[in-house]
Amino acid sequence: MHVDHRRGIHSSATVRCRSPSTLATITHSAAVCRMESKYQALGRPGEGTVGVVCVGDVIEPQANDSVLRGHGTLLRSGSLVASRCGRVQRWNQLVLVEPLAGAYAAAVGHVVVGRIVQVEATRWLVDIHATTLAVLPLSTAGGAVRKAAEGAVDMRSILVEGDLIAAEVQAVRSDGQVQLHVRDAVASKLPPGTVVDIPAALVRPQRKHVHHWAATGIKAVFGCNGAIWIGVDGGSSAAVPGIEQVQAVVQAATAVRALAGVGQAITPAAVERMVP
Amino acid sequence: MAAPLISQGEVEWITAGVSYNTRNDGRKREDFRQLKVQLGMLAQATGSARVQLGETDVIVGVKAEIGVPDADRPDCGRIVFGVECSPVASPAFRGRGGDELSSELARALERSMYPGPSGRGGGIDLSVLSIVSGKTCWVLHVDALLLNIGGNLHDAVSAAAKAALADAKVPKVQVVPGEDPNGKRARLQLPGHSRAGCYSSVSDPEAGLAWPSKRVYEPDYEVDDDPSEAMRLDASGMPICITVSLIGGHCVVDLTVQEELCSAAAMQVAVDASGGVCGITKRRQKGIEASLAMEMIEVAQRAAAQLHTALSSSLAEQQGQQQMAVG
Repeated sequence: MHVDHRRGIHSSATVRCRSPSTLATITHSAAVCRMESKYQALGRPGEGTVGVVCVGDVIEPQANDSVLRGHGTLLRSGSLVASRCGRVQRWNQLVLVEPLAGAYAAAVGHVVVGRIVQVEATRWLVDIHATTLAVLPLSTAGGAVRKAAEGAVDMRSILVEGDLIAAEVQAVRSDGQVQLHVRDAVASKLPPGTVVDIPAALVRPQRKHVHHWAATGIKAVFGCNGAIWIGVDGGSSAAVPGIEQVQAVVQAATAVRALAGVGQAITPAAVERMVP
Repeated sequence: MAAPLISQGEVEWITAGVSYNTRNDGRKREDFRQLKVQLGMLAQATGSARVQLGETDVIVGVKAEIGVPDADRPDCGRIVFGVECSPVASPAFRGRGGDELSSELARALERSMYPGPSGRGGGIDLSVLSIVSGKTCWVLHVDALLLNIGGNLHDAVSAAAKAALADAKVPKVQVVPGEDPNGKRARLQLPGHSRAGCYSSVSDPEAGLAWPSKRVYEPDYEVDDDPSEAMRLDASGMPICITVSLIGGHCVVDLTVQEELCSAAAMQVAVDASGGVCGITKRRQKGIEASLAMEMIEVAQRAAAQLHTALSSSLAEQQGQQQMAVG
């Protein structure tokens, strides 16, 4: 498919837009086509799945009873049609369209970068750019449990409001509440650095979420909630960050923003290609 | 979650970056973010401008209404500033949450525009807004709406106000003689020639009246709707407010929200296009040493030159496009 990033509209999009579905009343505005071309990079070719779809695009030409309709799909004249722009996901019989925009939707195993917003008696409430605050219970916060055994725990001595942490999603309850856990609460507090906020859809769950740059002593944590933290490597902590570290972090942050600006997936490999 | 939070690590990081003259987005201490100006998007307003300074987004509309001049400046019009913090910008602005910030911004704009006793010398020459001395004048309502808070609100709002006033096309007003009950029209002298416009110098021999006339004709005014006849305001003398903050002892300009959380002292300096200082306000809680204060004013003057150039080139481009579209 030819993509013209300058115009944002490419020829094959107009072909797909003329689908004979009854959703033809929804005009394929330039903005929709621009979004499609912008997120082209997210589609993985050769996987047997369609990459990015627009409203009205046909996903399954003949949708028989074995196909389970998920969110974002509609049955029109016997074929399965997308009702929102996004990426098609197939899980056995289930076919759904995952939206590209919107708040972060947590799933078990995601690594997130969050900010403590409230300190309670036995837990912290964390802002992970989702629709609700996530919970970090004291019991799951590794090292603090040992302290608790010795006596009353001062929650604020471990983490206070405003602190940035890197945590993993342990569970997502049926009411939508997200529960986080960390190996060690004190160590999860991120050292001096900066956070770059980008759309969560651009950061997919991957094997490695942390990337180190040994030469300059900085590291980056790629949170699936769209918060990318870049800063000094905690292991080699100096009292004050040096000028090379500051410049390296600024370079990496600019690289992340540039990739996000053109809709590229943010992975450690992608950032390393731009900032070796 | 109303007030933005920041961690100690981020504060240390920003302070270190500022000391090395490399901020988080790669800017130097005295660099502005990208300034985008859009003129005339509000068709119903006399003049309008939208200014985007990085993430900060402000719309200013100017509405000209007929009103009464101040008693101490009868030959001048008036400018009234109002600022509204939209809940779109932050959930903290729901209801009356944004009142404090909006009144602070409006007062800051007013202070930078104080005119002399004749109406001149301030940002806009108010004497051109007079219609009938002591009775009628144009009142310009300048209303700003904050759409997104991205730091450095004062600078963005003052730049947008200047752009909106430069875009304003005040309708042409013709003062016509008042109608006398007999239906005869008397010749009325234009304002600026007569002290009080309610007496008419009659040259009509049929009326048979001598000067000063005993009959009082209230002057009337006619507003000309023709846009090509409208008066353009000269906003070139209007100052722009520059906020200079101290982070770790260094003077920094155009702060983002995160950087503002690291700064304990700031100075707002209103500087005009020729570099003259029109107003100074000290902000935030920490005290500033006198020599540092002078340095901050100099930084503001340098930064203002940058912003004035960017703004005037944007204005010239947009107004040129408008001319081409019309002509």
